[in-house]
Amino acid sequence: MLNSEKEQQGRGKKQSQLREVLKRLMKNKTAAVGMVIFLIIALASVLAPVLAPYDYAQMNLDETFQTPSREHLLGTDEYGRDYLSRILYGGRFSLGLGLCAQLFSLFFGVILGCFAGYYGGKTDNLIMRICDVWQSIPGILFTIILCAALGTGWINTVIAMGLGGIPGNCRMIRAQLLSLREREFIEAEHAINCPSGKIMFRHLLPNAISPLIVSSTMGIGNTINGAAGLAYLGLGVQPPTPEWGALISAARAQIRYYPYLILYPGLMLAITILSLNMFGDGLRDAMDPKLKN
Amino acid sequence: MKDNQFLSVEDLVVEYTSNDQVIHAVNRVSFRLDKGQTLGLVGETGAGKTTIAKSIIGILPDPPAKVRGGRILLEGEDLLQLDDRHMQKIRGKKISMVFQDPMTALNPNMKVGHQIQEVVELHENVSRKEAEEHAKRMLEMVGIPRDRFYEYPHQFSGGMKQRVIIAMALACKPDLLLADEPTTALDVTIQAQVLELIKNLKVEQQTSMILITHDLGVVAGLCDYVGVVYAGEIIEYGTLEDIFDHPTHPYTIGLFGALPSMGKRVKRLSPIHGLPPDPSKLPEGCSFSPRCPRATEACKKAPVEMRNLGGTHECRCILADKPGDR
Amino acid sequence: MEPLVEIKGLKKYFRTPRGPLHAVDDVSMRFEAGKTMGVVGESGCGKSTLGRTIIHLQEPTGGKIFYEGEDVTRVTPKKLVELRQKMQIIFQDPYASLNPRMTVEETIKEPLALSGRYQRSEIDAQITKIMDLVGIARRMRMSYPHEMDGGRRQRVGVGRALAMEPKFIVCDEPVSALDVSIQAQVLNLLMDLQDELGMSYMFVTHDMSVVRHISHDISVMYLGQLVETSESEELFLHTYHPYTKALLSAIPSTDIHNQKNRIMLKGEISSPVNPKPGCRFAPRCLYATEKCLEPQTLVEVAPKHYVSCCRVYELNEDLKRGQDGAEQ
Repeated sequence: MLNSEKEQQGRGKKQSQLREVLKRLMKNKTAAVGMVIFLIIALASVLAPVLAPYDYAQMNLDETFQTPSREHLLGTDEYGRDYLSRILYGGRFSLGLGLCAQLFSLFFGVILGCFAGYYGGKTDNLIMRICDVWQSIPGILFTIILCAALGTGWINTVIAMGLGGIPGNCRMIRAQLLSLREREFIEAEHAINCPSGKIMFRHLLPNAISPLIVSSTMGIGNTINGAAGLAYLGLGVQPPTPEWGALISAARAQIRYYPYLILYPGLMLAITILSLNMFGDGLRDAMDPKLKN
Repeated sequence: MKDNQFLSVEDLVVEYTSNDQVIHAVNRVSFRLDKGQTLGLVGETGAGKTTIAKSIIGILPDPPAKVRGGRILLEGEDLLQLDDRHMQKIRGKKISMVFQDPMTALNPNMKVGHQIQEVVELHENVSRKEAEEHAKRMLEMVGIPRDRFYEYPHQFSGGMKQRVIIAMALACKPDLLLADEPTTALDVTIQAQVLELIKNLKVEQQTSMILITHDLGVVAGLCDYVGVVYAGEIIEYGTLEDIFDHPTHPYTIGLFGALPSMGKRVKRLSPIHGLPPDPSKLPEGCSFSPRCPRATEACKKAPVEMRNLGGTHECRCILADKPGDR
Repeated sequence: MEPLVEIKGLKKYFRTPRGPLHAVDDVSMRFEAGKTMGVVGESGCGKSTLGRTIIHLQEPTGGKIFYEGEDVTRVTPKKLVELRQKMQIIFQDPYASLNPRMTVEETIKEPLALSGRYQRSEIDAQITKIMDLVGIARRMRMSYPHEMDGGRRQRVGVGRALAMEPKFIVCDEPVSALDVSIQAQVLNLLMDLQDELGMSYMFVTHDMSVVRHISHDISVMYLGQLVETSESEELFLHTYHPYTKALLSAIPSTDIHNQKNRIMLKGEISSPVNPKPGCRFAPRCLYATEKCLEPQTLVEVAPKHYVSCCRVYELNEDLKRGQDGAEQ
C-alpha cells in the first residue's frame, strides 16, 4: 500500500521537464514580456471575427481615407474599408503564414537531417550536397523564383517561404545528431536492440530539437517579414487579402498623404517580430540543458 | 601561535548563491602551512577542496561565490583584504596553481613556449630574450627538450601538457603551489612520472604546496600534512602518520575501508552508506552524522568543534577522544 | 569446461587518414560462466574497443568470436537481436550513458518491452523488481538522470543491462567516474548480482586495485595487444611482464611506511596507427633488446599464466629454474 502510494507521488513528477522550462522562462523578464505580447497579438488575430467591427473586405466608397474616429478606430483605406478590421484579419494571415512556413521547413528539415546525421556516409553525403546546391541560390531570389513559378496566394507563399528554410534546419539537426549518436546512451540503445527509427526519433531527436525550436521561433518573425517583402513586390499574398505586407504594399501610393496606413501594419509587424525575438532569446536560455545540471 | 607562519587560513567561510539558494561550500576551514611543506586536502567531489584553493589564489568567481568570513594570511598579509592590482602581482609570482585538466588549461592557439614566457615577462623584470631563455630552461626542468618550445599544445600528449603547466606554474619560483588534482586525468604510469617530477621540484625549489586530490595513495607519497575535507569542513587534520596510522573520524575510517586494497584482498568492501549532504541544506549538527554508523543524538544537535588529540592531530568528532575507539 | 564466450585472434582496426589504427590486434581470451575477467590497461590500449567488439557494437576486422561454442563472428540481423539479449554492457560515464530526457522507469522499461518476453501487464512489476535488485529506491521511479547522483545513475545503467537478462556483461570502467565511497557501493552491487544471477563479467578498467578486488582472471593489454594474462591471485604474486610490473609499481600506495620503489617508465604510449611489428612496449621497456623488435607470442610460463615477452625467462629468476627443470 505504502509503496503504491509512493509510486503515485513519483508519477506526478513526469511533466516536470516542460514545467521547468516554463518556470525558467517566466523568471526571465524580457522573455516573459515577449511571450505575453506575442500571445496578445496571436489571440487578437485568432479572435478577429469576434473583435473586428466590420468585414475586412467590405467597401464603402463614401468613407475613403477617413482619419481615426469613433466608428473607425484606425480610419479607413482607399476603398473605405475599416483599417482596424483589416489589421486584425491581417494578423491571421501573417502569423499563420509565418507559423506554417516554419512548421513546413521544420518538418522536412528534421526528417532529412535525421537521416543524414544518423546514417552518415553516402546518405549523409547525398543529402548534404543537395543542401549545398539549395543554399547556393540566394534566399530571396529562390523565394521569388518559387513564387513566380507557383503563382501567388497564401498557400504558395507558405511553400515558397518554407522550402527556403529546409536546408538550414537540416544542417542543424544533422550536426546535433552527429555528436549525439556517439554518446553512450545511444550505444546502450543499440545494445538493447532498439530499432533505428525509434533511436532516431525517440532518443536522438528530443535531445537535438531544442536549438531548432529556438531558431524556428525567431524564424517566424523573419518569415513574416519576408512574406511582407514578397507581398510588397506583388508576389505574395494578393489584395484584398489583408496580410500585413500586402497592406503596406497597398498603402505605399498614399504615403505622402496618409502615412498612418503604412504606420499601423508596419508597427504591428515590428512589434510581432520584436516580441518573438525576445521570447526566442529567453527560450534558448530556458532550454539550455547545461543550466539544468 | 607563531607569528612567522608562512600560510595560515583562519575560519574561512565561502558561500555560493544560485537560484535563491545559499550553498555552503566552505565552512570554518582553518589550517597552517610551513615553508617547504606539503599539505594534502583529501575529499570527494563537491567537498569544497577546489573552492578553498581558489579562495587562496583569489580567483573565485564573484558572483556567485562570496567569501563570508575568515582570513588568509600569507607571511602575515591578509590576502582577502588585498585589491585586485596587488593580488595580480601575487598570483603567478608568489602563489600559482595547477589545474586538473591539462587538455583545457593551455591556449590551443599559442606556442607552449610562449605561454611560459608570457608568465615570466608578466612578473619578472627581464628582457624578452631572457624570458625566452628562462622558459626554455623551465621546459628542460620538467623533462621536455628545449626545441619543443615552438610547438603547439595539440602536438603534446596529456602527460606532456601537464608538465608544461607545471613548468608554467613554477616559472616564477612561487612560494606556494596549489595543485588541484594534478594527475587525475593522467594514466597511472604517466601519473607516476608527474608525481615524481613534482616531488623533486618541490625539494629543489623549496616550494610549499597544497595538494588537492581524492586519491589517498597520491597523498601518502607526497604530503607532510593531511586535511580530510567533508561538506566544506576539515573534519580531520594531522601529519601523514596521524591520519594514515590513526584515522579517527568515522568518515576518514570509512574512506580507507571503501578503498580496494592492493595489499590484502577482502571479500566485500565496506562503503560509506548514503550520500554527502546537500550543501544548501547542511545538517544542524555534525555534517557526517546522517551517514555515520556511530552517530548519537548528541551528534545531531550542535556543530562539532575541532578537538585536539595530541600534537597536531585534530578531529571534528565528539566521540574522538573516547578511549578504545581505534 | 567450455567457456561462455571465447575470442580467438580478434582484430579491430579503424581507418584513419594516416593508415589503419590497430585498436585491438590479435587478442584471444576465454570468459568462463559466472566468472569475472578483468581487462586492464591505460587509455588507448584498446580495452574498451575489445569489449564493444565482443558484444557486436562494433564489427570485428578479423578473428573469431564464440558464444557457447557457436561461432558468432558474423551474424544475421535476426541472430544479432538474439545475441544481444545475452550480452550487455555497462558504461563508464553515468552522465553520458543515460538519456537525459528519460525517467528511470522509461530507461528500464525500454529493454523489457523490446525483449518481447513480457506481457504489457507484467512489465510494471518487472521494473519494480529490477529497481529493487540494483538498489534504487522506488520513489526515484519517475526521476530524471539530472536529479540523481553518479552512483544512482550507474545503478540505473546496471538495471537497464540486467533487464535483458544477459549472461555476459561488459563493464566498461563502471566505477572510474565515481567517488571512492560510491565506488565501493557499486562494486559490491556488481559482485552481489554475480553471486545471485551467475553472469559472467568482462571488467574493463585502468585501476589495478579495483580489478584485483573483483576479478577471477586478469588480462593486461598494451596498445591493442595482450601482454599478460593469468588468474588474479597468481598475477599479483608472480608478475612477469615488464609492463605489468611497471603498472603495478606505479599505483600510489596508501601504505606510508613501505613506499615501494617505483619503476619509472620512460616516454609515453606510442601511436597505434601503423604499428611496427615486434613488441609494442619495447620503446618504453627498460629491458628491450634487438630480439624485441620481432613479433612476440604468448608463452605459458606457469599453468594458465601467459606472458608475451621474449625475454621473460631471462628476466625472471624464479621462472628460469622452472624452465630448466622442465627441459631436463
